[in-house]
Amino acid sequence: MRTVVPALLRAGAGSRALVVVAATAVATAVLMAAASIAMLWFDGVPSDLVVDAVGYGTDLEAVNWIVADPGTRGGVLFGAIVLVLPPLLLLDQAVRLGAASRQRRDAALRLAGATRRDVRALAALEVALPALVGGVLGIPTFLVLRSLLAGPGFLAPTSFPPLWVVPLVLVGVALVGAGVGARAGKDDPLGTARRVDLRSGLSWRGPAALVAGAVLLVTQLGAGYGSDLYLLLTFVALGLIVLGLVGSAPWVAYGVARRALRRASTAPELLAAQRVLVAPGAAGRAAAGVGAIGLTLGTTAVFSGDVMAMGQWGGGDTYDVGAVATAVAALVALAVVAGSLAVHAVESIWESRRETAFLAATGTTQADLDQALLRQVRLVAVPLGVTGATIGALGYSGLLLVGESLAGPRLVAAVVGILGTWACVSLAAWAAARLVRPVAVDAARPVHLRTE
Amino acid sequence: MTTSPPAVVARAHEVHQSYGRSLALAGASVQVAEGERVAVTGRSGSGKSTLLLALAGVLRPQSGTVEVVGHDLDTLDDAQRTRLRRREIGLVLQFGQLVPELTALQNVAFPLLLEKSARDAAEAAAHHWLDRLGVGDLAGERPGALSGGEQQRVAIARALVTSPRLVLADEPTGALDTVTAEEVIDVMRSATAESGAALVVVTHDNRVAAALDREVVLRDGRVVSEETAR
Repeated sequence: MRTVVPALLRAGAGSRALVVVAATAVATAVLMAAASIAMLWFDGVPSDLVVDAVGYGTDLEAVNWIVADPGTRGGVLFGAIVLVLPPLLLLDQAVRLGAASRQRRDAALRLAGATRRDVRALAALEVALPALVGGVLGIPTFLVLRSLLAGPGFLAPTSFPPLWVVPLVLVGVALVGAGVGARAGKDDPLGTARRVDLRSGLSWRGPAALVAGAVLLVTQLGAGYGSDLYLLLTFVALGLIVLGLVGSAPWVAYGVARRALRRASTAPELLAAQRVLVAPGAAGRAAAGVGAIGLTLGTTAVFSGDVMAMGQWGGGDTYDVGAVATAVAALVALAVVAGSLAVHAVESIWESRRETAFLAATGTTQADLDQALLRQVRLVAVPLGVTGATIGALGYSGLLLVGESLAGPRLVAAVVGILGTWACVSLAAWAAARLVRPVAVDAARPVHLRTE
Repeated sequence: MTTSPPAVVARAHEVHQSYGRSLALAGASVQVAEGERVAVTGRSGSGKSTLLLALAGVLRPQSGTVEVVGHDLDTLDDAQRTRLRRREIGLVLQFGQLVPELTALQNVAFPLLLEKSARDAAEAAAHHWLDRLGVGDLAGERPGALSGGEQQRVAIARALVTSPRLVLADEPTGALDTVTAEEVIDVMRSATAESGAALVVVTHDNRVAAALDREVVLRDGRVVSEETAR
């Protein structure tokens, strides 16, 4: 087996490896930024890095108060860690590219005598190697990110995590890649002889984490606002909510697809709904990051509304900088999610290119196929994004309702945040569909009708 | 008393097509009359499937003319050819033609939905053809759960649901055992007879060819003989 591994790895290289490299490079860079911020707890903030007001514009060596203050630094760190999710979900999608053809290859290897372990090791190595390359490229990517974050003072221009953290992050990212790859490796020797139902199991862990997070968020109010325990419980609750949103994505996909199928009256609507319904796990995972992004955008909208209502917006206060930076980061993450949606769409189109070519041959127009693709991408992403934004906006408003009288502005900000998320996610879905259109057009070519 | 000859449903004249340096069709000509059932036979690489795709308007030949139900396909743009295929031509292939995500019923109803039929009406028509082809009880199943023969019956139902005037089949029994293949051909013959559609079947199987009205033999991209069934 060892002698053929290099040849198999070379054959497996391609667009999938490139997406894995890109996703891990971004994830590594964000993790290094998060590590740099986290180290402030242990090393303290050097006095020359802190100024009274906002660091940017007057002293580029400064970090702003949101980072310098241990009370708010945790929020920044939490946001940074949440932003690792979209590239990791993109990595998960990329690993599944060409799953059906690899499944046939793996089954053929098993029939030829390879062990279960051989096949899994090959699948792990196929992802771990490009993930390691992506990790190394993540270092220069971090330097670019650092220069961008130094502007508003989220990182000092010289920030760099301790050297021992760097190999830890690289190995960690490669291990995550290997784990995802090994999980994707199919070791069933019958894979060549029968078609496996790709419907993925719908796990209750996601909804359970969401409920647990919400319950914890409400009950932790008793821990005393501002106390260390309050902060810890808040972060745990938010973490559970984010993980719950991601884990619940397949359920959302299943629910909306069933509803869409009942209402479908045109061919593209029927096709889109059924494509999601037969593989809600895959569709949900592709769009899972949208929920976390919606949560961020919804929360940011209400937070910004608060800052505006208190007359502190645009006055050089660090809160407005933080809100804008968070919104920009969420939008960048949304672009990564659009990539994830595009990768999933490419996968589903390419695996059924013969059927797609047949549809085109029997009178389905390219416009109908395009419409089905756009509906398929939107079907899960939009409800997930809106749900995330609603939880974020209402949850954040609810948290701060105690003793506050800003309900009006908050409600307006929540509506703006939810509508804004809807618009952003719709745009991302459209962009993803446009991105993969060449693949969709190619899949409909009559050449795919020829007998293999 | 004289009877007028049946109208021509499809005609290919002096059709040429090559893939790179490989010549698939070298001046093939064939004509199919209304209600006629024609077998196209020949060795691998003789151009059978290419001729079928040209008749379907899926492939635009490099030279020659193809007419289907009175339309010269060369004069139609892509959208017009697509509409013509949807309404007048039913297509059946050897495998991989059913959308895996859709149920058998939805696969059959799909062409009608493309024509903006109401979903209820489309599904009622799909049910009729699935029942007619003996797979009505499998309407809710997805292709992955069906045997090869059952999948072909569903594909035939889909090809017939729009009441096309021409049904084209490329090795529809190629992946089936002898008994199932005979059943599928019988079903295609009787179903097209019922709907009045002409049937063109590309096949390697002499028994399939013998079951149809006429056999057109291709060699090196040309028609070398045409025989009417005994």
